[in-house]
Amino acid sequence: MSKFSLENRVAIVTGGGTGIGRGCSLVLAEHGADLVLAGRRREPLEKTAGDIEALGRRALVVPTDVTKVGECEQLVGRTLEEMGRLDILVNNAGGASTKPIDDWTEQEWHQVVDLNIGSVWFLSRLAVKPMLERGKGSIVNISSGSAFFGFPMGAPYGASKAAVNNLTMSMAAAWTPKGVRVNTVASGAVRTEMLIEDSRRHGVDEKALAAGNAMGRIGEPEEIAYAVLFFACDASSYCSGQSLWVNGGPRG
Amino acid sequence: MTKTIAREYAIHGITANTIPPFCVDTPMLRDAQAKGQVPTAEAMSSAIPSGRLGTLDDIGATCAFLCSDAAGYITGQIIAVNGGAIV
Repeated sequence: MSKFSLENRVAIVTGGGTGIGRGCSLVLAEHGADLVLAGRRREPLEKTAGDIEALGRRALVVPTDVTKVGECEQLVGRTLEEMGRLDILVNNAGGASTKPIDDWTEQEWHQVVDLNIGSVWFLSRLAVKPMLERGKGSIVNISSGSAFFGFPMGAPYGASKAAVNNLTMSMAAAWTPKGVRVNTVASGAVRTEMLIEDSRRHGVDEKALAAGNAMGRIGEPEEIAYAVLFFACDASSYCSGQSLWVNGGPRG
Repeated sequence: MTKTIAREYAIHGITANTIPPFCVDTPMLRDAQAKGQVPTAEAMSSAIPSGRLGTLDDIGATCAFLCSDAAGYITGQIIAVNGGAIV
């Protein structure tokens, strides 16, 4: 069987109904995985679930607020009950608004940190248990190019994503000896509703976003998803603790 | 160098990436081990979170990924295939 095959494996994708998470869900399903879709809003999850079933794979929708530890527990519990196993976790849910550093309230800071790094911390520690029991699994986090440079309009976002890259190394060091690999895909500018709406709000058009990388175009969700597939499948069986930046190349 | 090549040729649809392997089980490594020039496979493995040396397959599969259209938006990057060793 191809090392890129995910047949007989079950993957949770958080934020799996929209944007990069939807792209990940579809690409993992195309390569044989059954999917558990988690996210706050049921409708986009149901739509993506329908598309996964059309590919001949199973899809379980579990509406989840990943900032709530109790809901993360339910997500993993229902996955094991209804899908019978858990092999892959994609910590994709995330986001933040953009505004100058001085304009952030205390509550907004905590929301961003809870969503972008707190969820990775809590959900990974729950999801890893069945993986450690079987001695095999893969956790893939989604971070961002903003983890690698100063981003004053999204400072809490960049800081929380840099924390994801670091946590990836700690979790990898802890769990790789027991068979569970942990890696991160740091996304460049990708065509999602989240990015397009935010850019419009700030008067930034696609051309300006595209000029930020060597290929001169923004990425598509499936271009991030294929990097997630690589880390999820056995082709990357000797990769752990890595953060791969998928960004269309350095602009320099 | 990878970044420069990546930047130069990205607009032509050519990607450039680097795979820095760690301790890969090759005839060259085995020869060096037999001569006592480098630590034994057991000693090396114990320092690697994956608990084993890399294989030609490990490097090959990563090459295959980076050469495929699935990696079309990845350029100028490094994927360390090292069993989590540099963590």
